[in-house]
Amino acid sequence: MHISRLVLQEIRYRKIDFILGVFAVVVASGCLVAVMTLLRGHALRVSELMEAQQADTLSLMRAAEDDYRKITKKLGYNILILAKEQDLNAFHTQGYATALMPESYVEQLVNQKVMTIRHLLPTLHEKITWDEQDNLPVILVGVRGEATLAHRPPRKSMLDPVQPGEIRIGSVLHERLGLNKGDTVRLKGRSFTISEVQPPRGNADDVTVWVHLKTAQEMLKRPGKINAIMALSCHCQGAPIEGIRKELLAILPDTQAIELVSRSVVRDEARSRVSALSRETVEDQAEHHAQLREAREAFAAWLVPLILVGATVWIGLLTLGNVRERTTEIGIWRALGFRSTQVLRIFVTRAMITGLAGAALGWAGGFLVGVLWSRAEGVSAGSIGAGALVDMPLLAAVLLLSPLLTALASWLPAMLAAQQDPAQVLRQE
Amino acid sequence: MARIHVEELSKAYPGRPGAVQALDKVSLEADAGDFVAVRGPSGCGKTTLLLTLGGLLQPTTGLIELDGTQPYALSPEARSRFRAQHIGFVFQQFHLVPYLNVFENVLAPSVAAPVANARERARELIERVGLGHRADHHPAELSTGERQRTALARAMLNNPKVLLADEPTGNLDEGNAEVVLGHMKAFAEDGGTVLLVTHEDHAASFASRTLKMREGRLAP
Ligand SMILES: Nc1ncnc2c1ncn2[C@@H]1O[C@H](COP(=O)(O)OP(=O)(O)OP(=O)(O)O)[C@@H](O)[C@H]1O
Ligand SMILES: [Mg+2]
Repeated sequence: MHISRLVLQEIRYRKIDFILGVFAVVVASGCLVAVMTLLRGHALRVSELMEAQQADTLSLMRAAEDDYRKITKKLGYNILILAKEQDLNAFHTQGYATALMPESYVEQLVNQKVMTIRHLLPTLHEKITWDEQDNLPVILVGVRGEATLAHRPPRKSMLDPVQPGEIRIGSVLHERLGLNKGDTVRLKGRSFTISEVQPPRGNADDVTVWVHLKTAQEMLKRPGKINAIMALSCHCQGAPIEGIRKELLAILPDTQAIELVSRSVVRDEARSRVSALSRETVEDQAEHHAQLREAREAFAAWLVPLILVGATVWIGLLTLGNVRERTTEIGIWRALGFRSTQVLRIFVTRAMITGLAGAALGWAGGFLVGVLWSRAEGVSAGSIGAGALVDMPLLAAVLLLSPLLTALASWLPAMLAAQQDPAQVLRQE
Repeated sequence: MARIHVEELSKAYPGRPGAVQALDKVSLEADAGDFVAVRGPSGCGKTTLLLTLGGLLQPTTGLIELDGTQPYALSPEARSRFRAQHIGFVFQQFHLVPYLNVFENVLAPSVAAPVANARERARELIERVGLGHRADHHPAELSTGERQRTALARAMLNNPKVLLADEPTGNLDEGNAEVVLGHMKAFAEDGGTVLLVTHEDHAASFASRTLKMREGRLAP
C-alpha cells in the first residue's frame, strides 16, 4: 500500500471537505484561464486583423503597381525632351517650349536604339490668334505619328496622328465656337476639316488645335523644326529620370529632359491611398480589440492575484481543519511507525490532489467561460475558433502550478500535523 | 539479553500547578515468550509506561533497551522506523482508521516500513482473527469485538518483537475479550513479548506474570 492510496480513501471518506478545496482551486484557476483565454483571443484577433490588412494592402498594392502603367498612360506622356537652350522658367510660365530643335532628333533617337523612353512624339507648339474666329487666342500644336522604334515590339500609338488637311480641336473651342466634327474651318488662311473634338481635359488642351506637324511648320514658318519630343519613360527598366537624362545626353547632347509626372510620386500616392483605405476599416477593429485586451488585462492584474491569495488562504484553512479533525488518526500513524515526514506527505499529497483536480476542472470551466466571453467580445468574428484559443503552455502551467500552490498553502498545517505529539492524543482514553 | 530491559525509568509531566511524577524509577525485565500484565488503579502511570516503552514519549531519566536498542538514543526518524519494525500497539479505543476497510487497516503499517509479503500476511492475520468474511468492511460496520480483532491483526502485521496493549479488552464483552487475549497469548507463545495493561482479573489471568503499579512505581 502506498500513501496515495490512504489519501484517496480519505478523500472519498470526506468528500465535502475535498470538494470545498477543489472548488477554491477551480475558482482560482478558472478565473485565470478564463481571463487568459480572453486575452489570447483579443491578441489573436488583433494579429489576424493586422495580417488581413497587410494581405489586403499587398494585393491592392500589386493591383496599383499594375495600374501604374495605365495611370501614367492616362496622364499622358511623362517625359518631355526640350532643346538645351530652352529656359525652364519661360517654359513653365508659358506652358509650352519656344526654343527650337531639329525634327531629325527623333530619328536620331530611333537610330541609336534609345532604351529608357518610348512612344516618341515630336511636336511644335505656339500660341497664336485665330484670325478667322474673332482673333481668339489658341495654342497651335503640330503633331505627326509617333516615331516607330524598330528595336521594340510595335505598340499602339498613344495619340492618333492628325492627317494633313485635318484639324482636331479642344472641347472649349468646340463649345465656344460651335464647331463640330466634320465641319470645315479656316485657320491662317488654310482650310481644315475637323476630324475630332477632344473630350474635356481641364487643361490647356481644351483650347488647343492640332494639325499635322508638317502643316504647322509651314504655317509657323519653322520648317523641319520642333520644340518638344514627348515620350513615355520605360517601365520595364524602372528607369528613373537620371537614367533617361544620361542616355539622352549621350545621344543628343543639345537637349534636356524633364519629367512631367514622377513615377515615384504616382506610386507613393497609390500606396498611401491603398493602405489608408484598408487601414481605416481594419485598424479601427484592431484598436477596439487591443483596447479591450488592455482593459481586461488591467482587470486581471488585480483580480488574479487576489483570487490566488484567497484560494491559498482558503486551502490553508481547509487543510488546517482537516488536520484538526484527524488528530487521533495522526497519533495512530505515529504509533504504527510513520515518520513525521510521512505524516507531512499525507497532507501535502492530499492538497496536491486537490490542486490537480481543481486545476483540471478549473481549466475546463475557465476555458469554456473564456471562449464564451471572447465570443461576446467579438473575437470569433474572423477565423478564430475555440481550438485556436487553447493555450497548451497555459494548460501545462495551470496543471503544474496549482498542485504546487496548494502544496504550499497546506504546508503550514501539514507541518503542524507532522509535529503533533502522538502521546498526547493516544493517552486520551 | 532481555527483550525488554528498563532501568530506573522516570517520567515527570511538567505543568503549571506542579510537575506530575507519572513514572518513578521503574525497572522491568521481560524476555521473548513473556506475557506480562501490569495492573494498577487509574492514574498510576500505566499508559505512560507503555507510551514510553513504545518510543512515543521521552522519559525524564532512566534507560530503556528493546532487543538491545535504546530507542531514545535514536533520531526521531530512526525511532519511528524502529517502532514500525519491532513494536505493535493495541489500544482500548481500537483506533482503527475509519476510511480504510479491515484489509487496508491491517495493511497500513506496511506504509510506514516495508513488510515482506505484506498483502498475504494481512490476509492470513485477518483469517487468523476470524474476520476473513469482513475484510472489505469498514470499522463503522464492525462490532467492537471485531474492531479490536482488526486492531490486533494490524499490530502484528510487522511481526513485532513487542506487543504493547493498553486495556485492549476494556470495551469488550467477556467472550470477545477471551478471543483477543487468546491471540495475544498465542503471540507470546510464538516468541513474542506482550506487555498488557489491564484493570481486569480475568485479563490478567492470561499473563504469565503480573506486576502491580501504584503511583508510578512497580511492584511484583
Ligand atoms: N500531559 C500530562 N500533564 C500532566 N499530567 C499528566 C499528563 N498526562 C498524564 N498525566 C498524569 O500522569 C499520571 C499517569 O497517567 P496515565 O495516563 O499514565 O495513567 P493510567 O495509569 O494510564 O490511568 P488510567 O488507568 O486511567 O488509564 C496521571 O496522574 C495523569 O493525571
Ligand atoms: Mg491509561
